[in-house]
Formats: sequence, C-alpha cells, structure tokens
Amino acid sequence: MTASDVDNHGPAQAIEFHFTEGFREQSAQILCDGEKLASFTLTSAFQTGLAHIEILQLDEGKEVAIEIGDQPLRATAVVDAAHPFVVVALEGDRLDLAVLASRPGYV
Amino acid sequence: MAKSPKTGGSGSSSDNMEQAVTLPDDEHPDYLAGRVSEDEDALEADEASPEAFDFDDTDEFTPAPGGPGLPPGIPRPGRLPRPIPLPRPFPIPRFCGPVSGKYRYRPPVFLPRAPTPGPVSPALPGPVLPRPVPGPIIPINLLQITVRVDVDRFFPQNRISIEVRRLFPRSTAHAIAEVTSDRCVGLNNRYIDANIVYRDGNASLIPGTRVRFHAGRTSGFGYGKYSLRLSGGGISPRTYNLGFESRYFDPVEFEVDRVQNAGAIVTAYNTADHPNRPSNLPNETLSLATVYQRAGFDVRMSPNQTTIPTSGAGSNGTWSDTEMHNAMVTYWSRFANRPNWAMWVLYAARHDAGRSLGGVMFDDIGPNHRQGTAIFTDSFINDVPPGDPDPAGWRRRMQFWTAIHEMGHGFNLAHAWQKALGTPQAPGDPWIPLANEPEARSYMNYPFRVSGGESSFFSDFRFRFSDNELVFMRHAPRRFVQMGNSNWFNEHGFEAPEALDQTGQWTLEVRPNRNSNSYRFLEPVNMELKLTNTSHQAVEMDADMLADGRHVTVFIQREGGQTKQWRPMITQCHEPHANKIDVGESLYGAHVISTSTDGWLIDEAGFYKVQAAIDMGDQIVVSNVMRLYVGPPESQAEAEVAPDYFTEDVARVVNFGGAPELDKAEDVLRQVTETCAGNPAVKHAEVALTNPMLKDFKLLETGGSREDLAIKTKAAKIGTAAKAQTKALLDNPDEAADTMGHIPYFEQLRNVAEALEGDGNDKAAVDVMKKTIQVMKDRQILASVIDNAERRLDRRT
Repeated sequence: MTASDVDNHGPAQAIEFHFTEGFREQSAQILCDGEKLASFTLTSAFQTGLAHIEILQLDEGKEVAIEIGDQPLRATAVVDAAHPFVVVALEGDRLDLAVLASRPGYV
Repeated sequence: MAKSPKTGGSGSSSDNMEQAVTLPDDEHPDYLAGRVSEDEDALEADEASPEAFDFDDTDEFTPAPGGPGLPPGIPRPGRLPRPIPLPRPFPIPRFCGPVSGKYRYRPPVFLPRAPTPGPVSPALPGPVLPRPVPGPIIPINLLQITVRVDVDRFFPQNRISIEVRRLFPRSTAHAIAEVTSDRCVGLNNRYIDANIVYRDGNASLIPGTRVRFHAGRTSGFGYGKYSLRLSGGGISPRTYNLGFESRYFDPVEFEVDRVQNAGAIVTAYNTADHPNRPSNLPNETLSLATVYQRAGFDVRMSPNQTTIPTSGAGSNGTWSDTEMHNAMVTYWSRFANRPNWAMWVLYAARHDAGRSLGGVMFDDIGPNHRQGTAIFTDSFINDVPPGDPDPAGWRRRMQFWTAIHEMGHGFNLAHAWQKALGTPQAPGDPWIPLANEPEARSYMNYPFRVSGGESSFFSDFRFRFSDNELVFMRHAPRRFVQMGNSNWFNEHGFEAPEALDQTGQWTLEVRPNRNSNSYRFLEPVNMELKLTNTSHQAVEMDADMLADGRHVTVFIQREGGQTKQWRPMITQCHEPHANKIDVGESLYGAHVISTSTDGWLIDEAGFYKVQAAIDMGDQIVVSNVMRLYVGPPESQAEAEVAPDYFTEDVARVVNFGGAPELDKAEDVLRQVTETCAGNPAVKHAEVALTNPMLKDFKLLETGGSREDLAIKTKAAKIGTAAKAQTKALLDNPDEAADTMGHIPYFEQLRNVAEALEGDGNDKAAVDVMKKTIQVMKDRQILASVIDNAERRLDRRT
C-alpha cells in the first residue's frame, strides 16, 4: 500500500514493522497522514519475543504513526530507506521504538 | 582419563567443513580433571572437620528415610580406630580423579543363609528331590535414589542433586545442595560436603540439611566405593551406598532431519572457523552432540536421518508451527506423546513468519511440549553483516549457534534476558527464581542484543551455556527439563504470567461447589466450572462449551508429583448453537476429574492442585488454581478395596453411570456399597449400579466369533432402580449433592423422574420432582434453574 501520493516524497520503500515484546492482546494500527494503513492485534510469543511483522510500501520521508491500544500509546517514525526495519516493543506503559538498518532476527 | 569421541558423536557434519577433531577432555581448558590437594591442605581439612574420617556409617544399619530406626538393644558396630599419624617428611600431592556424574543407590542385598552341611549319608535309591538353588534373594527396591555430583569435568557447578522415588506409598523428592567443601584426602579418596538449598516434593524423603558425598578406593588405584550421607537438621545421619552409573547426568537422543530445500546444513562447527573469537578459545570441532555432552548429557545421535521432500511443506514452501508438528509426528522415528529424553531437530528453509525467524522450538502444541525444534537456513541467520571478515564462517557459526539455541529451548531453557519473567505461583513447582543475564555469553542469549552487539558477543563467547542454565539442565527436577514432560515455559521459575492472565473478557472458575475441599478416600472428585462474561457486552457462544468435554482442559498435580492432564472419558459432538451470554452471566459445566481416559488421576491420599483452561477459539481462558485434599482410608475395607477400585474399568462405570458389561467392575462397586458405609463413594456406586436399570439396556453379546455377535436387551427394572436411586440421592440430599456436584446430581434426579413417568408411574415421578425442587431451594441454587423445574412440575400436576 502506498501511504501517500504527495509529490515531495521519495519513491515507495518496503518498510518492515516488527512488533516484539510486551504485547498481550493489544490492538495496534499504523497510520500515515491520518490514513489507517494496517490494523491488527498483538500478542508477543514468549519464545521468540515476536508479536507481528507488518510490511508496508511507504514513501521515503513520510512520517508514520504507530498506535497501540484503545487510549493509544503513540510513537512515530520517518520512512528511511536506509533503515527499513522499525522495531516496536511495549515496556510497561511506554512504547520503545528503534529504527534499524539491518534485519532483526528472532530465534 | 575418559576422552570425548573424536567427532562428538554427530553423524552429520557441515557440508563445508573439513574434518576436525574435538579436543580431548584432559587437554581442554574448561575441563577440570578431578582435584589435587597438597598434604597441608588435607591436614587442614582433617583438623577443621573431625567428621572427615567418620567410617562408622554402615549402610546395613541405615534406616530407610521416614522408616523406623534401629530397635534398641541391637549392638552397633564400634568405631574403628583411627590410623596413627605417621611423620610426613615430604608434602605428598594427593590426587583425586573426577567424580562428576550420576550415581544410584545400591541397597544392601541379603543372601539366604547357606544350609549347614550335615553328615554325609550313604546314597539310597529313591526319588530325586529338586535341590534348592542357591542365590541372592533380591529385595524389591522400594527406594530409588539418584545422585548427580557436579564438581569437575566440564563447567562444574559445584552442586549435588538428589532424586528420591519411593515406590510404595508412592512419593518423590528432589533436593539440590551447594558444595561447601571438596577435599582430596588421599589418592582417589574424596569428600565433598554440601548444604541443601532447594527442595521439591516430599521433603521427608530427603531429611537433613547437609550432604556428604564420598568417593574412595577399595582395591587398586581407581575409585571403587561411593556413598552419600545426609545429616544436619537434628536427624541421625544416614548413609547410602552408591554405584557409579555414568559420567553424564542423563541420556538424550537427537534426531536431525532436513527438508530437501534447506541446503547445506551445519551440525558441526570448528571454533576457529571465524576470526572473531576469544584468543584463548581452543581450536576444535564442536558438534551438536559435543555441546550437550559438555552440558552433562549422554548424547546419542539417531542414525535415522531423513530428508523430507519439499512437497511436505505448505503450498508456499514455508513452514508453520503446525506443519512442523505434523512433520515431526510423521518423520521422527522416536515420536511419542509422552515424556522422553529425545528431541527432533529439523533443518528447513523458512518459516511462515518470514526471514526474520531463524529458528524456533515449535513444539508447544499438544499435550507433550518441547520435543521438536527447527532451524531455518534461509533466514536472517544467513545474512552476514556488511564488512564481516569471513562471511562463510559467520554463516556456519550462526547456523550452528541457532541449532544449539533452539535445542536449549527443548530443554526448557529461556532466553537469557527472560529468566526473571513470571512468578512462582504456577500450577506445579517453581524452579529457583533466576535473575536475567542480559550480557551472558551463552547459547541462550541473542548475540545482537548485548552491549556492543554481535561482534562483542562472539569475541567473548566460549561456546557454552551460562552457569544458571547448566544448573537447571543438570540438577532441576527432571520433569522440568525432560522433553515432552513439563510444558514449555512452565515450572522454570517463570510461568509466563501473561500467558495465563485472563484477557478480562472472561473469568473461569474451578470449584467444588461445596463447603469443603476435602474428599474421602475412594470418593470421585467432581469439579464444577463456571465461565463468566466479564466483558462489557453480551457475547454469543456455545452454551455447551464447558460440558461437552471438547473445549476444556484440566491439569491435576499431586503435590510433589507430576502434573497430569485430565482427558474426559466422554466428549460430545453436537450441533453448534450460539447462546447469548449477557454481561455478568455465567455458563456452568461439571466433570468427574478423578478419572481420565487412562484411569484414575486422583487415587491416593494427599494434596492436589487443579487448574482448568478453556479454548474459546480466539483465546485460552485459564482458571484459578484450586487445592484439594484427599484423606487416607478410614477403614480396613476402604484400604482393601482400593487396588480393585482404582482401575480403568471402575473409572468407566462411575463415569458412564453404569456399564453392565463390565461385571467385575460392578462387583467392586457392590463391594464398596456393602463394606464402605458412610463413604460418599457409596452414593456414586449405587447410582452407577442401578442407572442402567432405568431403561431397557442394550448389550452386545459375543459367542466367541464375530458371527455370533448379537444385541441383547436387558429389561428395565425401573421400580427397583428408582427406589435405589431416590434412596441414594434423597435420603441425605446434602451429602449426595455435595459429592456428586449440583449439575450431575439434579440431572440424575431428573432422569429418575422421567423414567418413572415413562413407566406410567406419574405419582412417583411428581414426588421425585417435588423433592428435587425442595433440595434446589434448600441449597439456594440459581432461581432460573428452580423456575424451570417448577414449570416442568406444573405441566404434570
């Protein structure tokens, strides 16, 4: 899905959103320019520490928002082709967000 | 000195590896080859502990734990004189070889007294009598003791763990002691003292607070005798003779299978393969077997290695957990749904979750977890970081590390940073609370998660597990570790509380629905389940979910024993029907949980824990943990009937409400009704024995061959049955309702009333219904249930 057709942004990039530890039956959504791009429910697997991976085609330079829960915890990230992995973890009542250049792995 | 096998015992090796060898144990810097003491050390030890030379503990006079001591008046062996110390002009090094390994209690064997030879009489003609055959009469060993000593060889943890299994009455115990002193007082004469720091199960089986392990010589230079002594805590010291069994703590078998498209798989790794490594790391080849041998296991690699055709994978070529579980059932030669020291290791290309999943211990499905693991070769573990000096070596190391990591999950090891998860309030016994080890250089940590990242990790990684992990694998109660035994993430000190927490939408309660959680010996235990809608909206769901036996799982653990899963003897498939469950409204179900498909789960006195879970489709809702007590037999009759009563057939008769074809089981129940008056089990027996008489009962009779099969009908005796049942159910209704549970109790009364009505005896039917309603009112059951019963009665009067 393309988040936006605004001209001043770069070409679409595949961005992977990795929702990792701390989730238990929370609803989540990814938004761009107020448009909901994806929504899902998150529960972290204990062994791998992974809840969900969502891959979206997004325009370089766009800001995406990640919202968790009904009274959402919110974090934002800017699409950067050099850092195509966005890792989101829930620490207590805080979202931890990291933007990585290399693929995070789970075993 | 024992040596490791040259290739670590692995039948497979990396396709890209040159054949290399595993370093001999005694040349390895991480191997401790016993203990050497200088003369002065031994002297100090002697003086510091006068018990060091106590040789007066003789096993023949050792009382069994919990058993009677020596009767008074029996002379005890005198204390042996100590040797007169000789002058020691030179410090003599004292060497004690390694003693780590597994030992078993060797109970004394009593030989029959040999017949006294009498005078030789002349040979006379006559019948030849059978001659008595001399030989030992081996007593049945009612006490099995396993001792794991862990003070040397690879990565010693300075622990002694003791596992005791008493066969009758059945009970188990486990203790772990931390070593406080380890003295070599002469050539292969070694004393190791330890304090007990952890207990599990029946503590009285391992009395005392201190442990002494002694290994000494008999003849020759090697060890020849071993013993374990328990003392402290005010007990008389007890000593047990041990026999050496293995240098390893437990056996385990690994079977490595590979999916056709997994490419070259790595099951062995040369530690010098990649330049980023500790400078003093020995250059050697490690295999899957070597790593787990050094962790303390006697590893056997299964010769049954299979290449799984790609057609077995999903249509997309990737694998889901369920598909891997199915493949394990199909391809693993050792697969069995039971605890087993064996593990299936699958190398596949990719998981459904994508490239980010490098491996998984996928087997948390079904009743026996942790039997299968998978490594995904076409995943991030193949993605070499840019600029790495040896990409091929990096890939080999990563694949090997991942395999060991996933297999570690199979041994119930958690990630290094997850060890402190959870609380010791799970059903089952907790393991020692652990602290997280986020910086541990262990197979169970993520290399890319430590400070400095993966490069920092491998520069200091010695291809081993952490000490905490080794203690767990070597010394934890074996059910925690053994594959297919305790469930994944259970009983490891971190019972994943999130997994068990309620979602908030439902609350499941398991309860006896009576005043007391105490049960009489023989009394079937009936549990009621109550599922309440605690969400903020009405929900539609199948009202039979709790009753049909298909959605409910119950775990029962006798305290100190294994957790067992209850499987209903009766499951009902019915047309799905959705009922509206309002906010705060509940569904109910009841089950006899004493009996499972393979017999009785509650069959002896003691405390039990019960916890239920219900599969709601999109979530698992877990109940409270209920503790109940089963009393000991209160009469000789109860004790006598127990062996015949706690059988699968009797369980079936009780569960099915009668089974006339199981006549021997019915005889046992008749014996209960005749000899165990006052025991609530009598009411169950009376109902089960007379229930088939409430209607014409079909029996399949055989005449010895299939052709002789015929259905015969046993005519109903409704009057007789109803009379017996109303007596059992209504003479003392509180007692009957308490032991049977409300739901089965009132259902049974309804059956009686309907049978009487069907037999044309409306008056008796109405009488039973009226009494039933009165009991309902007296016991203050739900008004809606009473309303229904009153409406049924109104229609008949």
